[in-house]
Amino acid sequence: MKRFGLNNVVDLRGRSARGGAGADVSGAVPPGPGGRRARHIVAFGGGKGGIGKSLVAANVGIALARAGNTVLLVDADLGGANLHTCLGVPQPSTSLSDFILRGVPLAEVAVPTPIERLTLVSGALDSLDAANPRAKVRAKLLDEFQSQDVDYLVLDLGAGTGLHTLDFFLLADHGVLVVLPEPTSVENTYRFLKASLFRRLQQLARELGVEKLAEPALGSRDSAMRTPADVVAHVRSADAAAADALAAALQAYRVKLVVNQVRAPADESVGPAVASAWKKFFGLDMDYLGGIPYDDAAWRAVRKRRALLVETPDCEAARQLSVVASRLAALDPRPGTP
Amino acid sequence: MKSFREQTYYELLEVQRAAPAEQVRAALARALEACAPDSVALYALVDDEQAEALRRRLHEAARILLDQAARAGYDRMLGLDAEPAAAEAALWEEDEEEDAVGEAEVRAEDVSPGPYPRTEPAQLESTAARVPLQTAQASLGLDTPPPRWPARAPWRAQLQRPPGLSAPAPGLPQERASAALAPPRAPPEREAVHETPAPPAEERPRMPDLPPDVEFNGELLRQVREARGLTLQQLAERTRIGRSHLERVEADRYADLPPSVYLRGILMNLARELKLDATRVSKSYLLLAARSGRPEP
Repeated sequence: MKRFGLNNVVDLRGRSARGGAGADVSGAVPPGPGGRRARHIVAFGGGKGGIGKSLVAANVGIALARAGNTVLLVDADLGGANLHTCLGVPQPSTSLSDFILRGVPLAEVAVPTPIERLTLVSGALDSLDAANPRAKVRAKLLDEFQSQDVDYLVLDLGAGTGLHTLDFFLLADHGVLVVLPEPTSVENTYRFLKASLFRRLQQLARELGVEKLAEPALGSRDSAMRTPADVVAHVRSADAAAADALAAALQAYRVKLVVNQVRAPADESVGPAVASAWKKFFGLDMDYLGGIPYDDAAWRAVRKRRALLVETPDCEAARQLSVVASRLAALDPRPGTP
Repeated sequence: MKSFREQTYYELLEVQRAAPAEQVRAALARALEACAPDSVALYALVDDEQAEALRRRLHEAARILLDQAARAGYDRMLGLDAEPAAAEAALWEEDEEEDAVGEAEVRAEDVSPGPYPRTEPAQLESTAARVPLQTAQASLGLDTPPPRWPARAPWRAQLQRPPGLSAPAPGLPQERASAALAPPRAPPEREAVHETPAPPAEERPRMPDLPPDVEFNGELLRQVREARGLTLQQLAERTRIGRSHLERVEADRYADLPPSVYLRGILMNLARELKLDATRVSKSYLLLAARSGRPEP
């Protein structure tokens, strides 16, 4: 099997997240404030483990890189990291832990991958501190993510609804939920959606200075979830301007959905049905990006520790992953346009 | 940011303003499938009552949008101008057959949130009264003199209580604001909106006594259904519950019924259609089912 160690891909390092050759290919987006800014942040979450988040994140990252973008994949599954395996990269000696514990810049932690323009920050090694970062560390991570000079920063989030997972998801320009067409996964997806919406409402209330107002309408995180409209209406009773701002910000909270392991024709309708149900009960739009068919090629690729888009780019699952990547890319203005 | 309670019927069914009848019907079927009691897409999102409230509203939306006059009136209420509505009338001309069915149903069923369309040959015969578009305003009772229709005109009932409009008008901001602080819950049972179903009351079996501690077994549910003048088929259509499930419920064939988590949804739905206390019915029946020692996964 072909393996890529750190030594034989040194030439790719020049294309890593520092505005090297890769940036030119993408159309040379002018650097943002301070000269560095991740143009687009995409986060893959889903609440449940074992649903193929890492596989989807890795392959969408590959597709984006192949389309000419510089991509930094970050394994943000603190404590359960395995994104490197999905990419066919041996466990790197550097990881997110180096940033968290020693402040090593992410650009230096990133390792090249066999795919041009795609670099990887491997997940934190099992360390209790890293698996549950405190607020300060969380804020540092968020800053660091945002300041990466790449076209796409792709975050692979862990399972569960830990605060760091929610915050990474909310930081992203595009939060993508991966769901399987089965009750357990759908259940966790809704739990994740509600938890992240709750967190977003809290953040917005704080930013708008209406925490006290929103508090009773928000209730506790575990209580029956009020709808965004409820919270907005509650705020409106005291502060119409804040309510308008809150409503506008919530409209922008638009989660994306990918259904993985589609087997039966009925599975195809789960994506649109979940998006429709979310809209009907919570009043918020959700974009369905597509379904990935269940494909033996996918697990064969994982067992060979190779990326699906590298191993069997023509299989149906790989094709649909590319479709998802292109739909994701189509959501944003083309590089170089404001 | 409107939930289904404030969405317009068009938003709710996810159809265009000019969507012809067959699109509305297809949209209803799609939406009902997505929010069926056993739908994976709704699993753990909301409780049974909210899902049931959504299903009721979907039926209501389709009924209005499939009824030419009611739809025109609804459009006016939404403040949509008459131009597109008039253009739309052309669409309806091609759909005479469907209109006849729609009108017959609205008249026969008055404004019950039953399934759509439900054709019964006897009701189709006297569909001569076709309400022209201009009377749409009248059918809404908006700033109009009392209707001049004969007292027994088929549309009389509708003129007085337009279907679907007995609820607060969707999309009106004041309504939304005042309702918004209440926790999500199913809309109140609209008893008044329910009509008398097909067989006249005097021909129906008597409503069984329902003391507070009554046990709701299948036999009692059957008696209530018959007292309400509903056939199994009608009940199946209204509740969107499979007829075979309903038969098993009434036959107390606990072992053949779905697991409790789904059975509860079926019972709640069924009980509401029978105008019974849904929680009481489902609790009572589930207790019987549990006592039967049926296997639970």
